[in-house]
Amino acid sequence: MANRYFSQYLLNKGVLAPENAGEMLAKSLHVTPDLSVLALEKGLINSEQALELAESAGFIRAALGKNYLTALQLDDLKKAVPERSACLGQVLLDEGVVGLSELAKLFEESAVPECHPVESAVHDMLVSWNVDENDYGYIKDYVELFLGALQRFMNTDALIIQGGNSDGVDTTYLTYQSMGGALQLTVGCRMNGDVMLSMAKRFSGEVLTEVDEMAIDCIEEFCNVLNGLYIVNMSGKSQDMDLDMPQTVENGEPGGDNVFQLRVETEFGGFVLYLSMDGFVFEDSKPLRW
Amino acid sequence: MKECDIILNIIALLEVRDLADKLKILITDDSKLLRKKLRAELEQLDCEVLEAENGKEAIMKDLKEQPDGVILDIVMPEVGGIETLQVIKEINPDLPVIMLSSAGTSQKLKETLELGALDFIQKPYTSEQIKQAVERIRRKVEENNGK
Repeated sequence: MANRYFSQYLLNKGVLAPENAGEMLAKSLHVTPDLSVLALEKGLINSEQALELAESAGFIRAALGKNYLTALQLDDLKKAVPERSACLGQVLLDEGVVGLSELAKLFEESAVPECHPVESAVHDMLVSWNVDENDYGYIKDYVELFLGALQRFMNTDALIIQGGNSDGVDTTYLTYQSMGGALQLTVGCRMNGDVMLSMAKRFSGEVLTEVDEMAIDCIEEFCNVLNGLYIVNMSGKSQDMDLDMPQTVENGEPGGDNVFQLRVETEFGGFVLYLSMDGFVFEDSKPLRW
Repeated sequence: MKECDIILNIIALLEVRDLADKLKILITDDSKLLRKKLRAELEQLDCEVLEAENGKEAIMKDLKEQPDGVILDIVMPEVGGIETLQVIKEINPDLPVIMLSSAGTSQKLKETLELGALDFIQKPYTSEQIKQAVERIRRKVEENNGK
């Protein structure tokens, strides 16, 4: 099976470009992968077999005839909900970015235990920011947990891109929360209203039509749950931390020393993730309260 | 008395009895979403639900409404969950309190259990955890009544 962070792996490899990664993720929401892609992603067939089957008249008949797949395996493939990596792989094929054998290679390479796409991406970013070596591990763990939380709670693929511009965004909301104790870490997500609504709806399952008290509450609760998981992980490493209240400001851009920003792309749009070991400083921004 | 009035009286009596059998649970959490979701879970389990947005409101409701049990968050504005737990336990040491918080570190777990919390649920919760929490509150109430 391909890596959980397959899209990040593709970006690191240069298969996905930063400028169209978000578009590719959005397209992956609407595709149904071919059986050949599903079988490749699960590692049931290799690239040579996939190519051979692709050239045959009918995939199922050929796969059964050549004993590459059993009837039970084919049945399972048809019934199972496709993995995000398989959907993204199908988009890459449809868009002509890669061929079937190259896709098979990417699935295989990303599946090895030594492959840690998020860790590699964060490492490259933090090297360019001259981050203290001690802080690197904390930030890397946080970003990996953050992307995993987007998959788990928002049911979306997600990847990080260095830099954090908010092009084309008129009104932005920043939801942030500080964690203190053995380690100080403040994190925040800055997004436009459409992305905020999508996130809120996905997290809560509620019907929301505008950025109101409930929508903001959903994002704050998401941050609270996610950051809670982080401090529990840290507690397991004998680093006791506490949570402050999450807050949301309108049109606030966090300032201060050592504020790192990453662009996060998801299936429903992009936003900026800010991290700081020193806290955020704001000019003229007050928390939104109803 | 007319026949229909008698039937209505019987229905009213049955409703009062039913309400009395229901566990009255106070949810204390600043998140509107959490309160809405948890209320739905508790009502499914046939509980009567009260809500408070923060610790101060929870203490007031504890005094006024006398719930059978409290589900309490930690990170809240005004009065936080730890202080609220302390006050509630001073007022009513036997009241079952279940902590439901994202801040489930080993330190917080120890601190709240030492203060008398019955259990600690780390967010995000599952329906099964809530079901078990309600059962624990029910058993504690029965135990207290049997004293």
